[in-house]
Amino acid sequence: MAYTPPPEFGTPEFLVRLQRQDRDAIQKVVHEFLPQILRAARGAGLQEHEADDVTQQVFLTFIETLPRFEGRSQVRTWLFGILYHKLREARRGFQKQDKHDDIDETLETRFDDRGMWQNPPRKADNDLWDQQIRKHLEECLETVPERHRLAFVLREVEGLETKEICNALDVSGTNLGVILYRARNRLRECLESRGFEER
Amino acid sequence: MMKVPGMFSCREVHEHASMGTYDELGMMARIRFAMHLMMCVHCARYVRQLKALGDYARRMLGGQPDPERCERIETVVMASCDGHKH
Ligand SMILES: [Zn+2]
Repeated sequence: MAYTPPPEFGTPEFLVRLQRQDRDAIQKVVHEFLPQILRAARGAGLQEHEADDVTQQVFLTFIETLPRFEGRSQVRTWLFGILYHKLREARRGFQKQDKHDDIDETLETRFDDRGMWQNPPRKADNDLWDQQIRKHLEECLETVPERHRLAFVLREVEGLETKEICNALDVSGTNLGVILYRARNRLRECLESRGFEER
Repeated sequence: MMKVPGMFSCREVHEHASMGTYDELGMMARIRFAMHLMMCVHCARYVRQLKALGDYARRMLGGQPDPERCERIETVVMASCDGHKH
């Protein structure tokens, strides 16, 4: 399911056209990536109208900053980076708050001091997962800090590679690992606490 | 499962799986990882659940947005692009 952008987007000629704010090149990029940006904005927790608004702003900023785009990252990564900055401006939840997270304490209780499970994951009830997962996952996503949520969505839904997400969110690989670790475990713990367990 | 020297502990498996650092493991470490999963029902379940979590998130959030909505935003963006330059 890995996404491949149109090959033209990676060529030096296309880069030059973008830097000159060539209308046709811009339109191609807007058309290709607008649905992805919109989807990621929604996935990161914005309401529909907010997501529309932020998506529009992302592309306006994209067009404005094109003369500075050096093509060192892919166009898509650059766009997700702008999205991240817009979300940070708009939402306090996007401030970096990586120092402490109470999911870490929850996870501490899962393992003994030799690193073995002392409180292992419970077996999921497959039928329940299928029927009710949507509602529960939606509610559990609400409990994930927005920045972590965006990282999770970029990885799992948009399929971005580690390097791309690090670029877009301006974090190190180690930091991203911690963010994804917390997001995934928070979601899994939340679902488990809602009874996704053995009958 | 017993801790065996040279093997991954459950905690390490859990960390590699949820941080995404599994992708960076070398071949030998991947084999040790796979061996752990074969022997440890808890970690195997944990890894399965994380994978299911990703699948469900993709199914729930990964659909194509409404094309008309996209077109509307695209029109606004391109209009301001034209206004901006002339
Ligand atoms: Zn284990």
